[in-house]
Amino acid sequence: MIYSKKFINFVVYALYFICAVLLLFDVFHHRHGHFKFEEWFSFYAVYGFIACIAIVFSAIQLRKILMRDEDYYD
Amino acid sequence: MIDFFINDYINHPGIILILGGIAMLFMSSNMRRITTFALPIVALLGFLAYPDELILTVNLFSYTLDPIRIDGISWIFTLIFIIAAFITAIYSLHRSDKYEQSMIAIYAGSAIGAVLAGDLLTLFIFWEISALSSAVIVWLGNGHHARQAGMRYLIIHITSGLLLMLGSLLHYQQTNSILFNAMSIDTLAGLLIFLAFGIKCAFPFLHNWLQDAYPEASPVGTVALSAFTTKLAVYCLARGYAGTESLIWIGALMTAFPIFYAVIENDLRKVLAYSLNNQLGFMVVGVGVGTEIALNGTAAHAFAHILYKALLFMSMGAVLHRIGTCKATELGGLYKSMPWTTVFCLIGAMSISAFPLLSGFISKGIILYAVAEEGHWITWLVLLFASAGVLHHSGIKVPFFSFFAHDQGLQCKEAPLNMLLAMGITAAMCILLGIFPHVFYQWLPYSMDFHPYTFDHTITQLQLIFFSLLAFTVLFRNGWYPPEIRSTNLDIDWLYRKPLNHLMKVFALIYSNLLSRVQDSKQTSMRRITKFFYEAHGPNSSIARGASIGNMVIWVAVLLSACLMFYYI
Repeated sequence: MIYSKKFINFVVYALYFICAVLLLFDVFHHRHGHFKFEEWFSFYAVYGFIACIAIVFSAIQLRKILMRDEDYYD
Repeated sequence: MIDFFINDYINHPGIILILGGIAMLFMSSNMRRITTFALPIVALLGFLAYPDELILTVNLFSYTLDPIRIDGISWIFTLIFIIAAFITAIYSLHRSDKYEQSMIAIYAGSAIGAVLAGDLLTLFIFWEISALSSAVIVWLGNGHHARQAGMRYLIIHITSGLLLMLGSLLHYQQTNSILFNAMSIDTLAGLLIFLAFGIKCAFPFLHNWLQDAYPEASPVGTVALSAFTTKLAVYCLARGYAGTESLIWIGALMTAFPIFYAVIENDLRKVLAYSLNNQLGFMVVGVGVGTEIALNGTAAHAFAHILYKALLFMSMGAVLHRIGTCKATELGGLYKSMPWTTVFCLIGAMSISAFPLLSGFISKGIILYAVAEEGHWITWLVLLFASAGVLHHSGIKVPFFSFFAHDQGLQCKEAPLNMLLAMGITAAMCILLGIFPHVFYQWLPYSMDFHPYTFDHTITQLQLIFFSLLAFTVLFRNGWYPPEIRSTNLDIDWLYRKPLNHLMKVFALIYSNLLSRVQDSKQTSMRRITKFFYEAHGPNSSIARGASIGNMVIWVAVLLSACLMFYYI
């Protein structure tokens, strides 16, 4: 069931929707944080998104240096 | 029964577990099952019979020892260790492995003994028992790899023990006290003990025993291993080095670098081992900040982390038990066969990702708050980065690639009932801690005023989580997510498994060559010496030449007659 295109699309659009709603909070609510940058619009959202993209792309580069055969140590 | 517990040592939970563990070696299979289950409960009763604050002092020769010290911080660590022992015991009931169940009880007991130790000598003794028993648990993981990894594990942990002993002796020499209190890394003794703790805590570059050994143990063994050793080290750091600034940087580094490895690792239990390393980083930062609220954060995070990490390891252990592998390349679509395991794994994943209403949200929140309060903005940003990363590899990757992703057509039974029960109890605790944080606060070492469910904290955390999820979705749907590949990724263990290993082989060759040469030359000179003595003292030598009794009698007669002659003259 979960592998049907319809279901996957539903989950993905639900995710887009939730993200949009969460961003809306930043439009209407001004945050008070410990640091100034915390108060920037969509700071947490952008930071989380970029962090994950950065992790994955640097991990791909890391693989070029670190990856060996599965039985490398045998 | 009450009288039984009144004696100070008899209700020591660590000793109860260790003695019970030894006794288990001699029990029948059913009796051992009952004991496995009952021991942590007896240990808990024993522990709760103690007052909340207690120091037991003993004089041994010239040393003053505190074999039992209960205060706010050792209380909560002991409690969670007993809970972890209980969960592991239930998880292990489906099979009866004499050595494993016994060693797990001894291992848990020694970790508890070390937490309750108020002096360095008692700490050292329990430290070594825990190293030995946990190495046996790794060895019991079957196969050549487990034996080798167990040996590497043992060497590293014995080194840590030696450093602790050396540091303790120096400390005693300098201060004339062997009590385990706050120390400084400015003295050599303090530095050696710090390093001993650092090895067990898997500091960067000292970390690889963890990812090397834990995934080699059996499904049950890994759950036990994940709970005790590293959190014992965190406790020791909190006890001895709270407020040491270098811990902030060490901890921040620990949270960040394992994430990259976790993303490219194929063995999902190894992914969890990297993520364990990353979670330890949060606790170490808390110790480094060293304020009351930060230490509360460390204790709370250790408590919450032991539960959700055990839950994740248990779910992967169940998969390994049923399918025979934990490699992402071989897994997928298991939610159909193992629906309960899937649900429990998702609860663990959401807890570690600090989802609101789950335990990680509270404990990680306290640490981030404490770091921000002290104005460490770079560390704070690194921790936030690491939080997004945790979500990525433990929160998404582990459940996604095992239970969903590509349907591999795998069919198996749901996990055994005892495993489901252990996972269910742990999952319930993850949720309860998240929903009722104020009950949780009562167990923490210091009182504090921290409100996790503020509008800002909840919304910002949800933003971080959902946008990280969004990033994963975008990457995965566009085919940019790195595919799972059967591989080995080089880590710091490469140094001692490859170049150092080769170097040792070269040394061994040179040494054996030299040895044989020395033996050759030794043999020639030895032969010469032997020849000399043989000629002088051998059976045919002049000294050893046999003389007959007749000869002797003649000579005696000659001497006597000579004497007689001289007498008359």
